[in-house]
Amino acid sequence: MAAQLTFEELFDPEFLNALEAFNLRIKRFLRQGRHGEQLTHDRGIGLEFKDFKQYVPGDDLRAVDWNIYRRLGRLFVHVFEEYQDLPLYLLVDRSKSMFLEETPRVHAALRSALALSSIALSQHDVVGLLSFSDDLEMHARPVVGRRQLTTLAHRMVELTEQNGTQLSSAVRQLALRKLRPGLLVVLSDFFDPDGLDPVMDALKSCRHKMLLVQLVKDLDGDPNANTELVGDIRLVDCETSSAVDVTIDPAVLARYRRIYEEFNQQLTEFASGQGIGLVRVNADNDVLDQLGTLFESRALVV
Amino acid sequence: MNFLNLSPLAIGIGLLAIAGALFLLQQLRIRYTELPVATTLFWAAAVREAPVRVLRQRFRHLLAYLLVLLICWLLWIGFGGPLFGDPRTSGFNILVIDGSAHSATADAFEQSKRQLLGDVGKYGRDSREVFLSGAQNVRILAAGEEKLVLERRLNEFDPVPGRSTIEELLRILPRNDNYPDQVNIVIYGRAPVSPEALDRLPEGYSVSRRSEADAAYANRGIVALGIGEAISGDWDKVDVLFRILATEDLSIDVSDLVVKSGDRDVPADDIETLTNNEYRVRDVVADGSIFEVRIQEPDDMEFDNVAQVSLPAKERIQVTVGDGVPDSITRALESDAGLEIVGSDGTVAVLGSDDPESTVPYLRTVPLSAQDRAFLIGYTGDVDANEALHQSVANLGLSQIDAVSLATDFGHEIGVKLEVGDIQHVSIWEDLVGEQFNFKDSMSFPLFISKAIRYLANQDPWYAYLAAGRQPIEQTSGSSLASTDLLAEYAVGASYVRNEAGALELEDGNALQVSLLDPSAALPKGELGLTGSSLEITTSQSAWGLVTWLILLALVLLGLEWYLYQRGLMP
Repeated sequence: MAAQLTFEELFDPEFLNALEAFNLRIKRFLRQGRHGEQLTHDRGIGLEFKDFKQYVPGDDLRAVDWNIYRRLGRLFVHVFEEYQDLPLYLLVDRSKSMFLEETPRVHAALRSALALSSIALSQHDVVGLLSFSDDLEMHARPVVGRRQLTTLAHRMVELTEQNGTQLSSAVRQLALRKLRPGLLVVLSDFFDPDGLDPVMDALKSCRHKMLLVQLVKDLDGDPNANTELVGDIRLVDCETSSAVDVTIDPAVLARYRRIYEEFNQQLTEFASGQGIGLVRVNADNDVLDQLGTLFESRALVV
Repeated sequence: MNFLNLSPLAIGIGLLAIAGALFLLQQLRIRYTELPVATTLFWAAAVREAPVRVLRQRFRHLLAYLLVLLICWLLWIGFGGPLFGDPRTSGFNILVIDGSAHSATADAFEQSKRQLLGDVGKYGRDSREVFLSGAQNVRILAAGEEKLVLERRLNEFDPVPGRSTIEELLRILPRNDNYPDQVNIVIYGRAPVSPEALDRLPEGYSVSRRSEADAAYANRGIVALGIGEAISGDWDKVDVLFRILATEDLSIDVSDLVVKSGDRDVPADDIETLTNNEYRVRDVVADGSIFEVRIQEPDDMEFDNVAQVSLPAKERIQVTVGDGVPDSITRALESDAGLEIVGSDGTVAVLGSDDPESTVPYLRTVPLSAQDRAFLIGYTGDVDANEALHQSVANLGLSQIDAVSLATDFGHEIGVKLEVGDIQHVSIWEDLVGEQFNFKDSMSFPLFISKAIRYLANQDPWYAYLAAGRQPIEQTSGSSLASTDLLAEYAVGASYVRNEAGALELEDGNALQVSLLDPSAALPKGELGLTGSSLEITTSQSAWGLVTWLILLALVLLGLEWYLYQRGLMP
């Protein structure tokens, strides 16, 4: 098992400073939000005048433009742009596969989660931290304010290795919780032993906006790079302990690559079709560099 | 290159064993190495399309099995080097390359080498041996050895200036019990083989010659060089005789010869031509220098064109004669040309019974009562008594004396006694050399006196008579005096017969510098005893060329297997 990240390793000031210029935005916001920096499509109470509309019963009488009524004899009300906060739910995979190998995926996952938390808190959004393995767990209820970043970081480093990857179950459990609609960020390798189909079904039923962060490693797509992977090998799944006997030869490697590509393609098409954001973070490379690429125009819009 | 030479039966058993072993290997359980991975999801899917090998599975990869089997069989046959036919019954081959003077002309030896190297690979490795027949017969490639070493070993040899020893080899080979009944001997080179040598071979032995070299060559050669007493009687001179033979197309002219005695050239006029191609140079000063005869004109064989021999160093021995010495001894001393009678400083003294003691080795006559044996020999040093007695009797020529008739005549037993002393001496009853007995008139008497003086002076010049292929012999002045046969000879080389011309140093320090050639080598024989023949190999052979191709084909198939494996076309 790889070494757990310490707070000092995770909470790197240089890393956090580099994130200050980034913004996280969503294309279409949901109602019921509090005042924040997320520009919504709704018109309502705000500071910036947007338009007029005819009065209908129930409108705020304080917004009636009496000058127009005097001239035209009809009631119109002011419409203002409405800014709300964005609830950000970080769902971190803490199954065994995330903790395997020399540079475990969970390191990159936690750094990515902390980066998103930092960005969200700095734009007055609320951030909640959840994790899943066989079950869903809440580690930090949604908090707001930049000072809460430290609290979140502490919670993150406390995430220890659990068992399997039951993402579909975790998403369903999340749906049962009465959380304010927001942005659900799933940080996982998506290696659910039941395959991708139940995961996709579960994600479809989720009422949150979603950003999938797929943690990958070089060896996932290129097993040739693993020098131990030669000859007759018994591959043991670190989560289920199920074994697969493989005689490594070029044909088997080619088939593996094709199947892995199909897996990634399926996830990509699903995300694209459902309007879900999908980013791949390579755990073997620097997370900040990859975030810098994602936030090319300063803002990641989901 | 192959490791073995196996019979077809052994090769067949090996082929079956390989097929069986590979079949079992195809079914053996795999010993897996466990490796934890993040997920087996994709591997399981990949393997479902191509299941791995299990302990026992249906034999499905027939083509792969056949490919591997073919590769292994080719390698097995290639390195097994099958022999078709039992060498013990189909015959053993002994290849003999002549390294004697017969093959020393032009490039005859090189031709023989090339021919031998070309032929040797055609025989089965275990059914052939190669000998080099030069000064001695040397086995240069044993049965079972690779032919690759043969060329390197052959390059270490050059033809020797000696006669062929091939007939000796033909005499020795049948005594080797390791050879089978059928032995084929193939000769490479021009060494003659006499019909008698072929007749001596047992049944089952056959001899053929594999040589395209021309048997004829033009040569003049010095075949003998010897030294004899000077007919002139001069003590300090010798006569030198030598013999030169030439092939029919060459003549021998004395003017072609360069003869040297030490640094001095011997004029052609001083060379006498005798019968039988022999020549003599008379009255050569015996000063210990080298006498050399050289033929100037080049011919096909160079190393018999010069011959050398060491001349004896003959110096007169200075003898002091006492007043009381009997006249018979004095006369014998005066008649010996090798002695010089001086006043008082001689290296040897001859004394009568009343003469005073001497400080130098001496020969003395004594009264009958002075010693209980007729001859009393005093020697010095740590020599064993029996050895000293043996040497003394020989050196003094006492063996030439008719002791029985002398004892009968003298009335006393004639005997020899030795004693160790400070000075070497010989004492003899004075009555024995007196006028009343006939010992002084016998032929043995001057010999005894002469040899006794030389024994006491430690001087024993010897004359070498040298001819290649014969024992070096000597004829001493004493022996020539002792016998009517002036060529009384004694072997000085013991049982060693030198077959090769060249410098020779004897155990006693005497050096013979000689370069002579056996007449049989100097002159080619018109008929070598065996005619040249083309090679007909009837014995077992390893198909070397085929073996090479088999191994190459196996390597190509191995490359094909690797390619197919890399492409995923092979399990």
